[in-house]
Amino acid sequence: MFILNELQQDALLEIFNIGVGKAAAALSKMTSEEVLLSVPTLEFLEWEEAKAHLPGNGKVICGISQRFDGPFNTEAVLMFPEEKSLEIIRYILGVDSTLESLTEMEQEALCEIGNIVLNACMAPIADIFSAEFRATMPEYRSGTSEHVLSVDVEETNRVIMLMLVKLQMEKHEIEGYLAFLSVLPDIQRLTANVDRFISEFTK
Amino acid sequence: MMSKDSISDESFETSKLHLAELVVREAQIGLLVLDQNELIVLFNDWLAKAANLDEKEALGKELTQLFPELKESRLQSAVTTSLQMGFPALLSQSLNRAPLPLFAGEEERKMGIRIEQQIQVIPLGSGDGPRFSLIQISNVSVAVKRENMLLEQAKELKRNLIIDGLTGVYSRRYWEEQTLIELRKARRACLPVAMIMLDVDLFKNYNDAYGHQEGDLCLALVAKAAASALKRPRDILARYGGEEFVALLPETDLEGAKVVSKRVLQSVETLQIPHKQSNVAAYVTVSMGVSCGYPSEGESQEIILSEADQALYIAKAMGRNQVIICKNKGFFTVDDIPLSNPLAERKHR
Amino acid sequence: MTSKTVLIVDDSRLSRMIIKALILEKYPEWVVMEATNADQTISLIGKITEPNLLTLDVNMPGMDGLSLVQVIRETWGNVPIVIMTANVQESVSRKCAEMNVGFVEKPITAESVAKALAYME
Repeated sequence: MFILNELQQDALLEIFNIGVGKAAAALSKMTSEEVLLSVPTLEFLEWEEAKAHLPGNGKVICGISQRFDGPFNTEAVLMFPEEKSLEIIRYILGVDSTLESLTEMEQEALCEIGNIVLNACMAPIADIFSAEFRATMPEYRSGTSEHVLSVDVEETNRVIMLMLVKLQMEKHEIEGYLAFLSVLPDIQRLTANVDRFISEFTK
Repeated sequence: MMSKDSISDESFETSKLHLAELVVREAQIGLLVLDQNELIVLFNDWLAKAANLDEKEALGKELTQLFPELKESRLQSAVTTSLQMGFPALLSQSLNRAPLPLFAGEEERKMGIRIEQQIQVIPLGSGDGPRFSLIQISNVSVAVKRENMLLEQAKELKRNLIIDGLTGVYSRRYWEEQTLIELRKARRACLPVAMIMLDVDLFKNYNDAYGHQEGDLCLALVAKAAASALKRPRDILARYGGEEFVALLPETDLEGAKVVSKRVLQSVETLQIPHKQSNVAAYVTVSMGVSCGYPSEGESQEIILSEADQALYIAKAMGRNQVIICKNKGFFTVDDIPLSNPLAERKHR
Repeated sequence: MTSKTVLIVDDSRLSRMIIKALILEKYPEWVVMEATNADQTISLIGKITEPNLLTLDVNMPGMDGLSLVQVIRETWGNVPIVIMTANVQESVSRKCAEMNVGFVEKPITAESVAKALAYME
């Protein structure tokens, strides 16, 4: 299996951590609540194998995803369990609704929140790599995490890189995730960039 | 229709450009393009009309020159991000309402009713070439209206589940839901709760004497008077069925429950609704049973309610128009006079 | 100039390396020690003399940096502590201010390390 050396892995997590910190700050500002962050995990797996590692236990989750293409390509996803995304969006919008699914407008608002959080996350990463990402418009998806995160993996045995951070908001008892998914050869481009980053400090 | 075969490549390219220009001009959405210096280089007709501006007035200006209210706005920062980072942004109607002063017509402009907007900020160009930012504005007024209707309907539906249609106080279903929640809270925090069971005295006689329509009216008046005697927001009065009502008073001890139930008694009495078929008084009166205490683990809603119900039964047996309290399985009048073994005299309901 | 001791607590080896390198570049005579988590730090407390400065990461496996501050304070009293974190939420910087510890945003750069060292005064 494709594995980074310890220092590369460390560097990659630190770089993502900086993005995740900005993302959490953006989310915290919108919900006026502290977002507790887990220590991120980084794994290299085959897609079939990765499915078992995805959060959500097969329950319906809502995800907002954006694809970022640049020094490496990644699918970035902010996701919450469905009932919690109802709560979070209605709290932010200040509406008292009893509908059991998100309305079109609420989906759109959730897309905007995802957009703000994911852009905030990727901006410092672009800065660190002194490079640019092209990003797609945020897209709303709902289903199992397998469906929400599903990448274009033509061959299921292709290696993917999966980075996960758990976000917790205690007041609303909300548990969400930020996920980043890359496939080969994007991973190789990523590691080349990480090596450049490391060499700047260890020259 | 344009066909590539019919014209030379060069004129095809020219006409394609011309076509693109026409499309941008005539498109029924707002299109605005800013260059790297955040100056407007494109402002289409739809936008010009909605903003009541001439294209010429807009070109070469900054967004905030044209719309000063956009200073330090989310839209402005989204534009800057799109130009600097190349990231797109979505501004939903729900989170931003109508950031731009755009109006469907003169009438709306005068009344200040803006077009509801969904805005997308899209970076154009990449790499070393020039970078532009496209702002695309869609009118979502119809969708907003449709959705508000949907939400209103859902609210109405929910309201019908919460409120008793005849009397306007809470429904039994809602009361039961809330009681479960309050009992759980009380158990966790070791707080007392009080429950009141209320019955309109000799209501069958009232119906017989005045008719069902008057009877319904009487129930509504009594319910309203009783509800007005509960002062705290978490106190809940509901119609239990027929002429029976229940009240839940969270964080209320025996003394509090006495005060409230006396107030209910008085507030119904104050109505002075004539009741010629009553042997209690010349007007409509009520009887109440109160159960009060610290709900223990496993002490269900049913048990507390049945205590209140037994107290109510005693209140009726003792001549109605009064309150009887059940505490620690014993029964008392509001003046703390214990009642000797009232359950022995109780006949099964 | 007297030599000073700095203890870096961060689960990322690279972060520790960079902070250490940036400090030693400026002050080659200083002593820079490292711990990878709260447990290691706590076990060091009894063994070493009080450093002149501690830099703590917030998000680490096990006890987080903010909770660690309180444990350190029990023994080392008012030793200067700086939180160096990517967690830039307002709530984190507010907690730092309340606990009277410094707050420096990652990424680690010459500037951010200089800012952290300034908390020694």
